[in-house]
Amino acid sequence: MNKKTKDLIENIVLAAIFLVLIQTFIEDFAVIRGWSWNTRQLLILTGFFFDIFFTAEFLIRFYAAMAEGQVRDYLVLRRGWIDLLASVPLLLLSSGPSALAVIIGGGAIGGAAGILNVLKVVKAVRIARILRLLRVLKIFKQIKNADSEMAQRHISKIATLGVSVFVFILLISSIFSQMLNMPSAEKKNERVIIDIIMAYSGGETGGAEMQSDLLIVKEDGLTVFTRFDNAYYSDNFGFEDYQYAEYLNYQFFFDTREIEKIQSKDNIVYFIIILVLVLAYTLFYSPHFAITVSDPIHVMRRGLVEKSYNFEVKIDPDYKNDDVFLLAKDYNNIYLPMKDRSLAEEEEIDADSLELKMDDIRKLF
Amino acid sequence: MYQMEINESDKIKASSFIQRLTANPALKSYSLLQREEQIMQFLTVNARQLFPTLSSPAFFAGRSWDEIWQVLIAVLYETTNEDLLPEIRNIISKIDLTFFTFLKNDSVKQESVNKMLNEMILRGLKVDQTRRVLSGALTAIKYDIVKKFIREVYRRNKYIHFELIKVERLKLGEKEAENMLSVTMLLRPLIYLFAPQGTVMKNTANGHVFLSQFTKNVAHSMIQKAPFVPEQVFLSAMNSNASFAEDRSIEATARMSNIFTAMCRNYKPEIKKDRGADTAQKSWINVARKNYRFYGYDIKMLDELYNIAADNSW
Repeated sequence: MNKKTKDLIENIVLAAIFLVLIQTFIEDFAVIRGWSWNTRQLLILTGFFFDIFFTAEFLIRFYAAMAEGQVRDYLVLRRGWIDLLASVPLLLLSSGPSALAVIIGGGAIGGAAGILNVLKVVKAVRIARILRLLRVLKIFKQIKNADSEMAQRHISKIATLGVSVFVFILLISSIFSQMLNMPSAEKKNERVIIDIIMAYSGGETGGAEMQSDLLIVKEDGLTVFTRFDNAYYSDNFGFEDYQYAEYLNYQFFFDTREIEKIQSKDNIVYFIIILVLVLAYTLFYSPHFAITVSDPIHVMRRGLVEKSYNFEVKIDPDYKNDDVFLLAKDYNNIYLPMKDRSLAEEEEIDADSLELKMDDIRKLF
Repeated sequence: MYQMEINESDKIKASSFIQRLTANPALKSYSLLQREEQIMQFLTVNARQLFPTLSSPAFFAGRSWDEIWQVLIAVLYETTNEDLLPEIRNIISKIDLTFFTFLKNDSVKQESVNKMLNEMILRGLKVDQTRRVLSGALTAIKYDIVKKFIREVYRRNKYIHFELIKVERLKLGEKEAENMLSVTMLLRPLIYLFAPQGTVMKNTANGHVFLSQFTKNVAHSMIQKAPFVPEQVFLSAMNSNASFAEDRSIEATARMSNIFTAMCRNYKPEIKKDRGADTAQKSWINVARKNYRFYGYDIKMLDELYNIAADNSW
């Protein structure tokens, strides 16, 4: 593959990363703002296609690395593990099941038969979604935020560490909350179900109306209570927006949109935290690293290699005791004057020190 | 000096070759004389590789390298002079020579003095070493390096100012001092008109350091030949080629002239400073401070210039 094609593909990947970050934000924003289910379905499908794209990207890169015998190099040094975690698990556990639910019609309440199976994976979907945050790091892989390769690697490493730790803590805490059976909407709804059934047994039908989260109550498949009409359910409720429960011959549908909103709000906050973290590394730590490490080294290296290069290293008084600047001080005060004297005494001119090279004039002949 | 007769055919071939060398983008950031020096060094270093091609029938068939070299250098000088002479005329015409009146206590005709200064410098341009050393002077004046430093020297009123006004006893204002320094720097390379022939050209910052006895003798000889120039100007110009370590009585203007021409010898105004590097003039002056004995600079003068450069981010 030539460089031009390679650059084009890398630019497409970069554009896709930017777009998917926007899509991730909009998907959560749509939940908070209560956008219609049709619009949210579209966003779910868009996310699914992005995950297919990134999974394909990972598999191609992985295959290429395997063909060159550089799997370890790709996964560890070139941080292919970010490509892996931000693609395959998301496709299998998050966007894939969600898209499947949309495609098989799991949106409408009481719609398809497969709905209950879909609902079972909703929790896994929610947990896996956290991995989407890792995509921010993919930008770091693509964009050169510093001139020096060393600076680029250090900034990427520290950003990867910070973001990964944050994401994995979120992931582990989500898994633990599920495992430890923490207080949840389901538990609260169990209490509601008992109250409703007791009320119906006593001949009271107004109890269901009092429970604002309760959407529908069915007895032996017949609707005995509904809060909204079918058109409203169809327009506003997706498979993630309600919870289903059965008790004796009663079926209950609960509104979980408020819980979804809280989760989406949390997702956006996490997303912003990560973006700010990465921006902070890029805007504050990256220049600091350049000023105190890579730039002085670059200047000294040019001074050592190029005869006519006589710029001193600028020593920041705040960091004058850093090893790099102690070395730079010696470079300024010992090496450069010595080089200058040596050049002044040199009898023969060195071809390397001239701007004009033989290669420049070969075509003249 | 190259005064060899060149036939028209050789001149056309040499001119075409030199024109293409001078047009090379690698030399774009160089001044005319810096570019010339680069080409001369290039020809010297690559003589062995260039000779087979340049001695072929397409160029200078059957000529020795010395003959080819002479043709190329003569044409190179001619090519450089096409742009250099108007530049020098322009620089001299902008220097206000009324300070000659203060120094000589006599009225001076600016136009005729300009013309005579021009002629002196043109004569100097026939000598290789003069061309090399003149490069720094022209750059320093053209890019207002002298002007900006002198302005700060007068504003600060410290060591250099004291040396100029009290020790050298120049009753000159800031502008006159700048003009005197400019003329001193332009005349400085003329010492090579008197220096022994066969001096090896070195790619040093300031050419050669001469014994002050020799520089004084040259100055007195020039005073006889060009009485329209004040004695102080010639003394300062020629003594700027001597070492302050050897002769502590060298004029302040001579010491400054020595520093400025050396500083601007390889100065490239368009060069982009690397991030993490200090400024060009501050870097140069600091290196010069460490090597002041080697070059014969006045360390106190360098210290003050260093502070000026540092404070102004030059």
